[in-house]
Amino acid sequence: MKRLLCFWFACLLAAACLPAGAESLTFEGTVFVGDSIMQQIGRYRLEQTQRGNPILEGARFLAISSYSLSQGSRVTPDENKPALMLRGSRVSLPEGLRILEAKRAFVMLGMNDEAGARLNPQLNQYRRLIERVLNRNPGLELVALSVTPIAKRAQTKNLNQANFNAFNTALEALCQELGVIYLDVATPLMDEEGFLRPEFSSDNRVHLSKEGMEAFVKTIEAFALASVE
Amino acid sequence: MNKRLLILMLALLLLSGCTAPSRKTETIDIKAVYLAMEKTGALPDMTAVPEGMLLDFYGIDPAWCAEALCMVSADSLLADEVVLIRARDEAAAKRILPFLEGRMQAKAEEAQNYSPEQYAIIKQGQILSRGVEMALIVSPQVSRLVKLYQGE
Repeated sequence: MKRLLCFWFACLLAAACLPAGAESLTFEGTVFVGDSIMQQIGRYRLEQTQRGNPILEGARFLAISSYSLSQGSRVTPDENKPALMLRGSRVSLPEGLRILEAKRAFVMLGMNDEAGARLNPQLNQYRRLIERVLNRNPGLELVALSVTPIAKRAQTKNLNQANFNAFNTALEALCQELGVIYLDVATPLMDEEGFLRPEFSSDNRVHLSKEGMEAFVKTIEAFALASVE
Repeated sequence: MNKRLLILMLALLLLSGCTAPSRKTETIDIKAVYLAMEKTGALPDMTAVPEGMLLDFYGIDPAWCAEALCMVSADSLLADEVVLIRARDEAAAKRILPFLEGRMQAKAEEAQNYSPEQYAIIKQGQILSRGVEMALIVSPQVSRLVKLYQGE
């Protein structure tokens, strides 16, 4: 009897030690927006869920490989460029989030614009994106994600880590100014030199391997858990 | 007389036996067809678009479908896609078809400047529609997969 009581107290203690939000982490009402890397995450999520390892449960994705910051900042999509597709129609980012009744949106854009190569215009586009998204979706929790790193040997004149770092720093400052959350998803993917870790890369350029996607998802989940607590 | 009648009946039986079974009148076994496609090795690792995502992903209302199997490449950088649908009826089929065409067009637009290699594959992709049976097939080996779908 004494042993049973001790066992019960131990269980109660263990339950009390669990993080408050661990059992309630959900991504219902959350939309992930982006380009080919976000598209990878969405596909990875589908695959993992079907393998019996559900991740980012309830999340929806608005992503196309060639999506750009310039297109995302527009009220109506440029008809000459690829646009987000939702329910068979081309949609702007603000409108897509509205249709999905998003409560929270994680946005990762800039890679297809050569983030940092034209810093001022790009930050102006991001400012417009944030303002237009929030205007169309009042009450939305918008989280701007850093662009992810590039493999060291894949760098070019315009597509390079120094530019990405400048873009991310400027984006963080912009978010602070506009009262929007900024989340650094780049650092957990970096090696000691600040480039995309080889084991996190699927193409020795910018796209993520399964391990890289796993690391990305962990960063998002940690953020979401911290938000709940 | 009886002999002539017998010969006539035999001739009729023989003629009916010569008619090739038409896929038009058969219901396509969607799962079996996809399994056969998988067995060719022509497809990369694929993952299913669940029924709950049909509307957002394709614009297709699941209520229009008697049966649907929608597979996309697990590697989102590859354009491979197989969508096999049996619509509830001909009216539903007419509603579904434009969304399959839209999907193909959107894939092409997305890839055109981003990945010329995948764009070339998408441009060879096929949309097939016969009665309530319809398919969208994108693959470097699209002809092979189309033949399987058509029961050849």
